[in-house]
Amino acid sequence: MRRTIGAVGFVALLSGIVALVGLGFTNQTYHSSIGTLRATTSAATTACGKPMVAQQLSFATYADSSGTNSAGQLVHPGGNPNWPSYGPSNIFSVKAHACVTMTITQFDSGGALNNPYFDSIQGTVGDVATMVSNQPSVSGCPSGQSFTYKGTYHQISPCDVGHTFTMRALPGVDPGFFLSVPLPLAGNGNNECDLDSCPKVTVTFSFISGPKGTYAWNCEFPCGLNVGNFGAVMSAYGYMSGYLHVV
Amino acid sequence: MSSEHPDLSADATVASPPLKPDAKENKKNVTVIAALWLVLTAIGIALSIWLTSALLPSSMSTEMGGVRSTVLVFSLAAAPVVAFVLATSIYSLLAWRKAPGSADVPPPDAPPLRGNAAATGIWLLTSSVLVVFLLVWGLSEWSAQQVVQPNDLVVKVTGQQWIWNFTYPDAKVDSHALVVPLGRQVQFNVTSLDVTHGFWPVQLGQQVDANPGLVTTIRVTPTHLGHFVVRCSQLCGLYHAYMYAQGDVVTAKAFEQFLEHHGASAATSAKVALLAARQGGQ
Amino acid sequence: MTTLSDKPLLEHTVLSTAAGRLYRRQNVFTAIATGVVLAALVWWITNSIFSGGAWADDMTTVCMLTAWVVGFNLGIGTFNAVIYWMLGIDQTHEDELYAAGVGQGRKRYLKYCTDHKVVGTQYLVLVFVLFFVGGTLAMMIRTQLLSPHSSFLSPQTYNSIVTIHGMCMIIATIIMVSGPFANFIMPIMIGAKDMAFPRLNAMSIWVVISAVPCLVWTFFLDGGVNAGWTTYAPLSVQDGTAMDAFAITIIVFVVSVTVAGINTIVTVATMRAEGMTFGRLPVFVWGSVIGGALGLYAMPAFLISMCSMIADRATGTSFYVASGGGVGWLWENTFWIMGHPEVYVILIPPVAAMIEVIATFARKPVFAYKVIIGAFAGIAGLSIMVWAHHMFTTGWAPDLAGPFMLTTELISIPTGIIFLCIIGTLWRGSIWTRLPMYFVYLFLWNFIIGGVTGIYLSDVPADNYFHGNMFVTAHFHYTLLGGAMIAGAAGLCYWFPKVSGRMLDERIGKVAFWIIAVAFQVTYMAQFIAGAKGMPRRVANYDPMYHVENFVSSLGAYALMVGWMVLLYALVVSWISGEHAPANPWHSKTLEWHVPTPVPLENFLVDPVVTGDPYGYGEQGPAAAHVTFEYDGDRGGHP
Ligand SMILES: [Cu+2]
Ligand SMILES: [Cu+2]
Repeated sequence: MRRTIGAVGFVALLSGIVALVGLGFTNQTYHSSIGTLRATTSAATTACGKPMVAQQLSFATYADSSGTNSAGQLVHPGGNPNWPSYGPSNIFSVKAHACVTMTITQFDSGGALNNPYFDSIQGTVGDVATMVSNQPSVSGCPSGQSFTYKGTYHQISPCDVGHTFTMRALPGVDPGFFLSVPLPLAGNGNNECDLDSCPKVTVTFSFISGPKGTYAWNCEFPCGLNVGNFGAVMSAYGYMSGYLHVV
Repeated sequence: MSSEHPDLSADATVASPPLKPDAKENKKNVTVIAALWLVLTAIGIALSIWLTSALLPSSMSTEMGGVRSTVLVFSLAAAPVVAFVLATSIYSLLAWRKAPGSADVPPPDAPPLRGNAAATGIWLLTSSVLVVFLLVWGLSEWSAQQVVQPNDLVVKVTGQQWIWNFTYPDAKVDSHALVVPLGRQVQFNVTSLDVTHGFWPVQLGQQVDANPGLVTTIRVTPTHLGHFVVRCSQLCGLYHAYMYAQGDVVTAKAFEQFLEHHGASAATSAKVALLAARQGGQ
Repeated sequence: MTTLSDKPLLEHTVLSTAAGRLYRRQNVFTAIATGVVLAALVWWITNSIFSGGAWADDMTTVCMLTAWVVGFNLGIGTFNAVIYWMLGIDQTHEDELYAAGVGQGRKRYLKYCTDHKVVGTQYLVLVFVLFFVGGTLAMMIRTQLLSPHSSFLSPQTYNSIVTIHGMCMIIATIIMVSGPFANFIMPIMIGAKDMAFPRLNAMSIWVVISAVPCLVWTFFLDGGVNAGWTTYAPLSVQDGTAMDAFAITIIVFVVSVTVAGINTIVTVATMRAEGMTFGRLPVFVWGSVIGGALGLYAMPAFLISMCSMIADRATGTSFYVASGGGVGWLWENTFWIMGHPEVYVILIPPVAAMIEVIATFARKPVFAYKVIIGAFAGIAGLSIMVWAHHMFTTGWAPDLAGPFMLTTELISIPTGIIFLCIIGTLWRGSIWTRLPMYFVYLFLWNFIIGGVTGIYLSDVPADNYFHGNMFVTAHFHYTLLGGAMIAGAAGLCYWFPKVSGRMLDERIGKVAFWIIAVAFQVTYMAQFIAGAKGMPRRVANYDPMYHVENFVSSLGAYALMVGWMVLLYALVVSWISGEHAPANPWHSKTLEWHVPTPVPLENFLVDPVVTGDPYGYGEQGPAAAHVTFEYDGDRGGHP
């Protein structure tokens, strides 16, 4: 009897240690000072050319993940000055089967993609986005092609990319869903710069959200270190990666 | 503390148990084990057939058909072996378990059988025959898969952290989904732009790693129309779990439409060429 | 009959206060302090030299952790004898008695102790610590996989947990029998007073202990190692500094395994008692030697691949990086040249230990003794030629698919001999169903399933479906956990009375057994099903079509962990307050049962003379008794 109680107590004690370790590993913080960034719903009843709920979501990419943005929010709590980051959150939430309009302000520099496949837009309404850029056109590649860095675009030069916003559903949620938008580079940006003269590109696009579930987004521009420049920030969860919850 | 060496000669006065079992006992051993073995083999065969058809995805290609038949045949071949091991060990518990005199005293010694050349020989022979069978079966399946059909379709597969994309070099088309025509052998030329990935079109029953700087090849011949999934089978970092793509086996006509729809524009062919150059330069 | 009650025991020798010299001041705490201080110093130096350079982080981490390992071993006393020798100071007999733990009571377990029984006990504790760490990480994995799209762990945390779970368990299983039992039991089995190199023996345990913090430390460096325990390049070259700590862990571990392997082989070659011919060696001794020798073949490949990994990461070489002319296939080859023999380094010693258990509890000689030794040797020989079956789907050397299929399938012949030997020994035995025997039957069930599922994976066309999927995960857990670890548990319950001096509480042990036996099937059968349906391995989230299997597997895994905890409780509580064990509770014939419990220092009060093999159950005459004890005038015993 004494040993039975002892065994139960012993198992409870060790399980408690396991549970504590679990708490230590939990992904509770979202790597965000503001928690989940929820889309706002506008009054419009027609969006994306159809009668449906219209939602808006704005966020940005910053060159310095340890800094703050113009609203004074931390870009990425515990960030690294040499690492860029999406911010101020990497977890987004939108309504299901809605027309979601995303506005991403790009404050970061860039270069060439590993795979030119990601130089064109897929999965948005009309496969296009609109950019407002105060940047001069950058000489492009492949040679012989020219790209205009203003207004509506489908494709940019694979050598002039700052980041990409690339998203697919978690396995089994919405298998056909695929969204990828290249964001043109913007020179060496300043996180807090709101002036018109600051190098920045604002990209706006709309897509129709799928069924309820979780979608994973990441950046396909090699802005990290080591092999393929996909180490460091690209492989550290929460900087160039995150989730979109469709609710 | 006692530092005495325990007495080794304690049971030296007991006579050795007989090496040969009496005929009646022997008959009982063999009959019950044989019966158990037959029952367990039957269960094993039933399980093999049922599990192979219930669990493995239905076949969409010659190669997946090969996987299904290999799993079935190997399971059938293994069933009697597994059944024999289980039958004898279960029987040993049923028939030979001896209640000791008291908790701390072992049962009397058993007959000192130190080996049996015939049993060892039969065991070795049986396992060798099974191995040869497995090998011959595997090699014939494998060499059948090496045959290159004329008029095969080449698809370039590019893996990178954490997305697949597919290029049809002849048509100068690139795509995020993998579309292949029915009944025509497809050769996948697989590579990676960063780390090692595993190109695994699940229901097509083949896979090969995507290695940076190298091109690896597999061939499949789709035999059924329908949908399949391409997964990454090699841990490739942060979003390994999300590295999948959609695949479809379509009719030859629908395949032509797919290529046309993705239109071989100047921009696409420039991209396809640029990607090829990047991979060549790795 | 020899009576030796009034013989003074070696461990009761009163030593002078100078005996042991520096050893007197050294223990695990001075080791930690020296390690931390040296690591901090080297960190400061390397950081100021390399700071700002391209490889600064990696260089600093490598140098700092090397300093930790060296410092820890300086602090515990690993290098004392070497340093004294270089200074021209000889160790006196008193120094050696001190190093063997004389006069230190329980404190010797926290010191650099050359007594093989202390080293074996230290290994046993380390193995349980590692199993607890690895098991805890397994609970994290299974909790994440309870539901398909769980966000309990971030994908990065998940990958690093998968990595360290794997490596922790691999290290633990490599040393789980070769550490505790090849050290504690094996020398007594052959009639030796200690291992051939007692100081190297102590070194092997303290070196591996110094590696463990490096492994755990990976969680605190740059988000952990994300490349899995196989750390395939170039993914592992892409990783942060955690990968440097991982590489240092492996290099240090390889040193330990090598030292231990050499020690085992030399001990058996040179320290056998009179009459202990090779034909009379217990099967476990053969298993330890063959496992140790195989480790000596396998581990250098790991050492070299990890050194070049560090070079790639910290100095910019490109062994594995395609853009510099390297290739990941080089890593995969060297890794599996280590990795496949390594699974038999894990498997052979526990299976050999289990065969001792079967002979004792079936009250029968081992069936086909020479054949089973030959089978172990055959497995070891073949296992160095099968590595590329892990690479069937990599695209490397497709023309070698046939030869590697052949060698892989051939290995099932000697593996089948293990079953023959077990069944043959059980045949018409007097089966005594004590707790160790329970684990033997569980082993039979698990290992036959592990073996059969292996044949699909050995076949190239079928492996093209199963590779990299949960089926593989279930398969190797059936062989390594269900096979090797269960066999190890049989050995542990069998030798527990000798090691602890107490009887194991079999009532609690049997409760643990049934939980483990059932929960194990639930956990991994569910994974077989998920794999057959096409679920890839090592994924943090999965398609909901595999939800039921994963949910069931997770519940099974929780129960399995509880089962092991109950077994651990039985061990701990019995060790503390169990019934005192007689010298030979199982009435077994091998030599370790014919020394007193607790085993005195240098084991034998009187030298044994071996008269036959240790399996003469049911036989008559002096050969059946295995051993007689001869009066040894030099040792002052009273005949
Ligand atoms: Cu980026
Ligand atoms: Cu991948």
